[in-house]
Amino acid sequence: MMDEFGSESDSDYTSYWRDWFISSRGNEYFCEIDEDYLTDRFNLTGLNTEVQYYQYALDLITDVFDLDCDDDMRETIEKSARHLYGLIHARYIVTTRGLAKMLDKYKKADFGKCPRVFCHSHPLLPMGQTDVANQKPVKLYCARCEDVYNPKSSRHAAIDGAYFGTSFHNIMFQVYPALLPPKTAERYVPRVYGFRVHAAAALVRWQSVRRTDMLRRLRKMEVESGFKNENGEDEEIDDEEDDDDEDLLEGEPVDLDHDVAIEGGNVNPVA
Amino acid sequence: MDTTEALPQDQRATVAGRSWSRGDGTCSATGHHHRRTSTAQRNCEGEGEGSARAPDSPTPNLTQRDETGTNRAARRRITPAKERDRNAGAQGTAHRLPLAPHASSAPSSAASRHADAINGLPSLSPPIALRRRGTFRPPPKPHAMSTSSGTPESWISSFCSLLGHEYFAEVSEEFIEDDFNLTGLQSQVAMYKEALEMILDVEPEDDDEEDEEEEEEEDESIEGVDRMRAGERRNHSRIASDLSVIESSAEMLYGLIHQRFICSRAGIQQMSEKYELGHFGVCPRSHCEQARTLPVGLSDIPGEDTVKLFCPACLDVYVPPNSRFQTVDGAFFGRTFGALFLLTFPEYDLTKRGAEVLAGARVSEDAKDMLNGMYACNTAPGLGGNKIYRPRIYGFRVSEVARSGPRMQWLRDKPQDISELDEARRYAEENPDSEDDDDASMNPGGRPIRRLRPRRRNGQGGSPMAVETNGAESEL
Repeated sequence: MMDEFGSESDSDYTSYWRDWFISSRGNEYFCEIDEDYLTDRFNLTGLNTEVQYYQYALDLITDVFDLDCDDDMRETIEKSARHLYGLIHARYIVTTRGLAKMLDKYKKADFGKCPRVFCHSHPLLPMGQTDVANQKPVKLYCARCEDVYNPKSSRHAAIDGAYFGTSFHNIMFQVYPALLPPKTAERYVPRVYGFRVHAAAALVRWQSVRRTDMLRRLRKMEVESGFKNENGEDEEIDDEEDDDDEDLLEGEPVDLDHDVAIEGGNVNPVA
Repeated sequence: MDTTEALPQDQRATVAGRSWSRGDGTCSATGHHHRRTSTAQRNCEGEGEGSARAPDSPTPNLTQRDETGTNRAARRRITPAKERDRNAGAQGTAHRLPLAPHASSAPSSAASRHADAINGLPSLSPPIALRRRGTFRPPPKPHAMSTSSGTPESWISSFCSLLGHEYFAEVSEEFIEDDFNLTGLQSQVAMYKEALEMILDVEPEDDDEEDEEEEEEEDESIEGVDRMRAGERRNHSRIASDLSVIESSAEMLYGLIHQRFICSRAGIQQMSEKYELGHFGVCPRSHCEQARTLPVGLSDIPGEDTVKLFCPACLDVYVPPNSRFQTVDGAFFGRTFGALFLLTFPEYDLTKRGAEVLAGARVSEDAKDMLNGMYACNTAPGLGGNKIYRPRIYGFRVSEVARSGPRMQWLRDKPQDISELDEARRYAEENPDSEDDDDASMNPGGRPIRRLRPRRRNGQGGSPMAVETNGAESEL
């Protein structure tokens, strides 16, 4: 079972290839794939065309590699093994066991935290923007703001997004709906000496209308909105004292007077 | 609070006499103020001078001393005691005030100062003598861009070159020396005077006007040895902690001045250079495609939150990626700067990325449609359309009706037809009979610009008057 191989893992013969792989620097996003999953050929359907030296690479991953070959060859196989592991990983993490493992990592914030200030360091999940390999690097998804971010570290930014896939993070929240973070309308509003800037504020108002519409739709369909305060009453504290969103939700006319119209001229602030 | 004011007489002398132990104390405390090390040397030599100060001796126009606690203010005949609107202070008011001409201080040119700094010689009593507290050094000429004007070892530049201080602009000494710009800071910073001296690399050897005559040696003898000794003695016991207090006060004070400075004309210009050089990093949001960010605070009050990065492409704020910025106070940049920057430099093409920003990409002529006071193409270019993440499972969109369906897309949304945001025009269209004085401004092109100019001029022509009025009032 344990054999001679070990290009990078020379010093540590006791660790399996997968152990070494997931614990090596830059691979923090990966979880360990079960032996059972790897040995079930059904799970690997179609991957043999994706990976060079498929069988050797698979042997390497499952620690049964015992080919005597030169270093170049070994390196090629090593590379293939990493690629194959990634592709299997994308399939594995949407299984029950895989989801559970990734959930643990999510809870530990192994994938980092959302950089958006108003997400208050919510943990991220890795995601791909495509399921095809070698196209786009991995991104990070924040369930709180439902947006996609670049990994902070460049060694993570080099990981292929297809190793996580486009579906995993969404399946995660379908399977564990209790994990869905509460949504808030808390947001940043650019201000100059306390006055909202007109261009940005107009967009914020427009967006608030969109949000209100959505909440209304959901209420009509009796779907939980996930917002802290269900009734569409706006609960957020806008990080500032006054909040125009409330007015919008009540259907009252928009109060434009607070915007700075430094260049605008469209609004008459002294009206 | 002016700590000096609160101290008993002999302690104040101590504060004054601090000058010669200051250098080494600083070295142990922070070790990055080279200049002050040499200062210390000099002070050791000119010890007498350092103590040659009459902390309380009256000065001709000390009338305001009681209110202000510094005769610096008194000398300038500007009274910060009256709390003026801070914002006004920050708003590019750097040189509005009619500064009293300091003919006498002319010789203490920056050149001689530099010479000191470079030589680090323990000689030179003349420069010290000239380095008067009240007057400071009149800058040889307005150097708005202190990055280029290079006082390589000044406190300010060493502060700005510290790790984690990459976002800071170098506040010009000119700006700091204008008391108006410091209005109200005294009450926010402990050991204000000392902190200010530290920032400006000024020797704290004297407390008032006496040094106008260059007879400090005599003063010393007049002062009496007792106080000197007392000061000396105390120096040993309290200087170390004192210095670290002053050091942190100086950083706080610098930060607060910085908050104002970067909203002034020179400051925002300097920040735009840093922006072009990419000093502030890029937006982590994937769809913003490395749009450049601006440092902002979420509060103007120090101690509340750390510095954040504002992305003009998605109009959101982010935590800086590097943890070293998590010790930088957001108030040192303030809430205003980010938005003001975009209003001040509307020409930056926010849709451009990377190298194109370096080349100073400007909004091209054919894209100059105005909307709500900004170029329409610059209105949140990172939002809307295909720049919203739409969750899918195996290629199928997750429905809004699902419990885990999308709920936050509004946050990244933008009307397809951006002119929908022109609320005033839409209002006018929906209510054609309302008063029509805004109809003219409906033209999205020319008028807003025309409107901008007069206002700006107002901002600069109008306020000095207000300031003068204030000053007069407070002097009465």
